[in-house]
Amino acid sequence: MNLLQILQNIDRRIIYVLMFLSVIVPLVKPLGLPIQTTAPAENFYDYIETLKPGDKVALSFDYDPASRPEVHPMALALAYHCFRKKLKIIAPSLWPVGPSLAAEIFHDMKKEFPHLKYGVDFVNLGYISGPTQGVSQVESLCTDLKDARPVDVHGTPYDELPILKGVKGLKDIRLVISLSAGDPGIPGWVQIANARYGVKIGGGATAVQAPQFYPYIQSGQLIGFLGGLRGAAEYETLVGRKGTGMAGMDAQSFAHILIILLIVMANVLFFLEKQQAKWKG
Amino acid sequence: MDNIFDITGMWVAVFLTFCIYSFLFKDNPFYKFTEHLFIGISAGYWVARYTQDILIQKLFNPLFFPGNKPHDWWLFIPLFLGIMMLLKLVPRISWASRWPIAFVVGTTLGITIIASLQSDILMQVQATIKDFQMKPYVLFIGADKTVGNQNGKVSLQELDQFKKLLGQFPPKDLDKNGKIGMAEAAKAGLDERFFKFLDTSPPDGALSQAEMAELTAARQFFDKPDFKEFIASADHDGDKEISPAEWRTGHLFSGKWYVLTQACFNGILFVIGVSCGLIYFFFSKEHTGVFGMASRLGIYFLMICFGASFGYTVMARISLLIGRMIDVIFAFHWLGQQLF
Repeated sequence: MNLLQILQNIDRRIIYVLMFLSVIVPLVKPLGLPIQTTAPAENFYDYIETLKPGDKVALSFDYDPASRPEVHPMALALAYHCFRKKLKIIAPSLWPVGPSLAAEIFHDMKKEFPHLKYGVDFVNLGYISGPTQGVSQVESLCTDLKDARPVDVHGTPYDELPILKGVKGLKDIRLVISLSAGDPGIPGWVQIANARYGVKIGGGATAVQAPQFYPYIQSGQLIGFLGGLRGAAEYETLVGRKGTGMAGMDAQSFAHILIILLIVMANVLFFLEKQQAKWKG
Repeated sequence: MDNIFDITGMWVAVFLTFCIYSFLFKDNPFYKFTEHLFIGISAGYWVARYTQDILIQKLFNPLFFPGNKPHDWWLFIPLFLGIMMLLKLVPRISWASRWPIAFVVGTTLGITIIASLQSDILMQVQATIKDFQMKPYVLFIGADKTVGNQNGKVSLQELDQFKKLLGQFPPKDLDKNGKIGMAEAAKAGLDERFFKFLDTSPPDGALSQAEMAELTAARQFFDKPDFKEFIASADHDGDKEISPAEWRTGHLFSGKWYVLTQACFNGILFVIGVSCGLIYFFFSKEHTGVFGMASRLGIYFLMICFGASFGYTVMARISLLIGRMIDVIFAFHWLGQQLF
């Protein structure tokens, strides 16, 4: 067997090991590669910076634990930024598991901001059920929040939550941020809250979904967007808070370099094989 | 780690992670067990949530146990439709399930079609051509502090205000990357439209040093001793206001021609890419001649788009691996701390 044949028939388990090493080594021994922020993340950051203390923001938890590695770090960075600006967070969820993830975020934030009070500074509204795409859920949240969720996730009635005083629907608040891993998620918020009621929407989504939301950024329907773990890392850089987003970027870079090298190698081998067949023929 | 449940959960997650990844070596009972466990728990959790949040809270309680509120008897309709849908499982009367399915499809279509039409088609068409316009290079500050050449005029008093505004630039608190974001610009009194007018090379939501240099150039002009003389000479009709035509003679912002050309290039690329991509999917005409060339160009745009999408998908999968590895490393780090 010559070198060409060996490389063409490389055992896939060798590739798995190389991929494992390219991820584990930078995680254990970080290099601290610089992270360049991009316009969608910067626009997001800049918009939240224009909000005043006491302004209310909705942070919609539209993802599940399967997307946690990508979306949870950006949720932490966004919540940190909002609480640092002394904004108040209302947290609805369009996915059934969303409230549990929201509770995790608020639990972590209470460690960094001990003065935060549930019901005054933040509220976990709970899961709002409905068909896919979230259109009917978003419509009810925008127009009549009390009807959509008469009680919060703990069963506290709407009228007993000070943060919700004066809030008839989400169309009355400054910004809705949707952390999305599929349907329902960002499309529902953009199609109803933004298109119908002019609510400003910011989005964070998994990298798989990110390409489908870039048209929304370009058209101005999203004021900012964070795509995948990279987006989380950018936002952590902007707010100056180290998290799993930044921690994972070295590993991401090395894994991508490995994939690029493998793709280049495969293409070179393909053309060499064709050339060899020509010479033999 | 807060308590025994967190610690146990952490190690169960690590064990199950290794079980799943063991499939990469070969199929084995550990992988099969974990796969079935994952599917079973997911299904069970969703059944429990839907039963509690939808069936009990939104159907049975308002219908049969409303408490202080009156019974909502209208809910018998969705209850009846839901039972009809389950009749799909009975072959002899499975036809009954078509009615509630038709109802669901029809109402969903009715609700979503207008929303989708507006946000995914009309606004996207608008966005495709929004950069494909020649921005006038003349800049005005209107009476309401909006900016842009809208066939309006600017008075001498507003010019003085503009000069004062230029004096405040650049603000001291620049962004970390040496740029001015919208927030800092707003603090210095620069409104959004003026910001967007300057943010053209490239339009990235922040004013770079080059873009701020435009303001510096303008300020230098305002600082010239013969500025008032220029304004007086530019006001041809003597109405103490400068019209677009009168301002143009001053060539204050002539340096922006290059910047406008760049913005137009992006716009042209958008229009060509979208048009050619759509032409590719038009199969009522043979793809020959000019039409065929446009179609082929559309394929190239589509391939670039698919490549970018594939790259994002690869990034997503690696991110999930990184997430799991972070949890595994954390678990062993915790163990090391306990032992040593």
